Amino acid sequence: MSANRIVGVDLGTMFFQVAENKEGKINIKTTRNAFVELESSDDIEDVLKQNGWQYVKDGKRYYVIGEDSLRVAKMFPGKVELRRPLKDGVLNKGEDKKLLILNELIESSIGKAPDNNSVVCFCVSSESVDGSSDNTYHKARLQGIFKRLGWKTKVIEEGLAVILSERPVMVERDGSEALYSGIGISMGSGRINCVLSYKGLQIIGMSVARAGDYLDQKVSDQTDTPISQVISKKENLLDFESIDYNDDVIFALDAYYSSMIQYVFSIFAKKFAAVKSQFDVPLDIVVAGGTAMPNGFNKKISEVIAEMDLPFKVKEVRLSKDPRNSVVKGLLTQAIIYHRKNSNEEVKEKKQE
Amino acid sequence: MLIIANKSNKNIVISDLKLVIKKKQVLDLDKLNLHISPKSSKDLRILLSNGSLIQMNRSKIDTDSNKTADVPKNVNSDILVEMKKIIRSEISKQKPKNIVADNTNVIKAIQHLTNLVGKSSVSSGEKEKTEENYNIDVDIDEDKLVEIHAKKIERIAGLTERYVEYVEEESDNASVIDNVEELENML
Repeated sequence: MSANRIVGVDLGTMFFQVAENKEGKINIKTTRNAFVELESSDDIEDVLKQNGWQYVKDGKRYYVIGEDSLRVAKMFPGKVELRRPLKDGVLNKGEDKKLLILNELIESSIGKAPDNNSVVCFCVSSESVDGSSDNTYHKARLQGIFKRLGWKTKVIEEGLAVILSERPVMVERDGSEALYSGIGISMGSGRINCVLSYKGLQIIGMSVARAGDYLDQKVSDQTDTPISQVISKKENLLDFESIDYNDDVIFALDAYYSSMIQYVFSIFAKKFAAVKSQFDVPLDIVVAGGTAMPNGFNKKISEVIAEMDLPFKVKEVRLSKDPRNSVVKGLLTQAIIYHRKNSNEEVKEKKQE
Repeated sequence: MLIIANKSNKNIVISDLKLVIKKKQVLDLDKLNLHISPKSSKDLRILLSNGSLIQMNRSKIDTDSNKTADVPKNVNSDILVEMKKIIRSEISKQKPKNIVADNTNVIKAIQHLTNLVGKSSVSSGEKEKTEENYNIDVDIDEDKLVEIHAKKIERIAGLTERYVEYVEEESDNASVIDNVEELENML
């Protein structure tokens, strides 16, 4: 076989992930998609190396990146600002170092393509329904980074990556099964993406900005609690099967999660109405992403949407077994399919010649 | 509020705002988190002046039907032609010593003609003509756009050094490969 490399890359607002199929295993690399800038000094390189911090040096400027950026931000509160290359699921327009950092993450994780047939599949958000962002520029910029490194690119919408990874099944009226058919939802920190798919083909897609960061901010505002504490409680204590109503933050998180689910499904219902007639059997809903990780979240969704008048029936709300990695695995799946298709076409062309 | 519409069937790129306005899309630029103010965008001014983009909030004010009800059709274009003639003749009469006085005459002439027109500046016929110009092809080929970005990255990333590590995990590839096989058969 050839030495072509095939990878899926998920450039999330919170995490940067790469998945690659290597010797019968899926290898997933993850780092936090954040950085801080350090003031230049004579001994800065020594400080970075002594602490083992990950960094990028650009001329005389030093940027600590990944998980280490959080550590540095906590060590120097108010003195260094935690910065993010992405905001609301797209390139952060207010951040002038976003491309530098993203390029370094991409180059350090996948490097240059070994040949002309190596493939990267990455995802973008579906069309924004709350006017919050446009991803055309975002997509072209990322393609530019991969192209510079010699990769062929395939781009899909984030919700479809969940479908390709989680394999929802729709049972047709005649009893036959339509695989990869249902609703895929990716709940990240920047955006929530929803896609309706039929046999692996995207029918409709939409995204909203009311995602993890939005929830954290709202709860922080309402309870007068620092965001870091809200995130900590969300990640460690929030359990939808056992809500502690005496804890203001947990109580507020529960309320805002309900509101977010209602918001997402009410908008998705309007989009769905256009294709309603084709989907008159119950649908699987598969959910992935960091914001979907609290225990019992699938039950929470079921409870909230049971109270709503939706234009579709729900068969099951299922949480991904591997919510953090679901999107990047779906992207790898699509990358392999794209690579095989290209290879088959090349073989056909050669035969014709 | 700065509402901009792309009435064409092509995406339009406002380069210095790093913004793409999709075909038929309407956006309030003041609500976007742009890296420079849209009012200081040179590219936006050019696209507005050549009609590729339309400023919606201003055109609504300009086409207020109640205020233009008494103005005969096509009067505007006639008056505009007349206005140009008067301005040209006033300017040609100007001598260096009495520029201020002569400018006053030009301004008076313009004010007089403006009063004749009322507050409408564009007649319905002219509006149609203008709208024809909105379908100018200013879309950039996607491959070209990617190439432009690749060059930009090359400039940014030329002289960097790095030390980066990742949290790595491995899992069995069976589920991914099974999905690939199923999807290939279906698609």
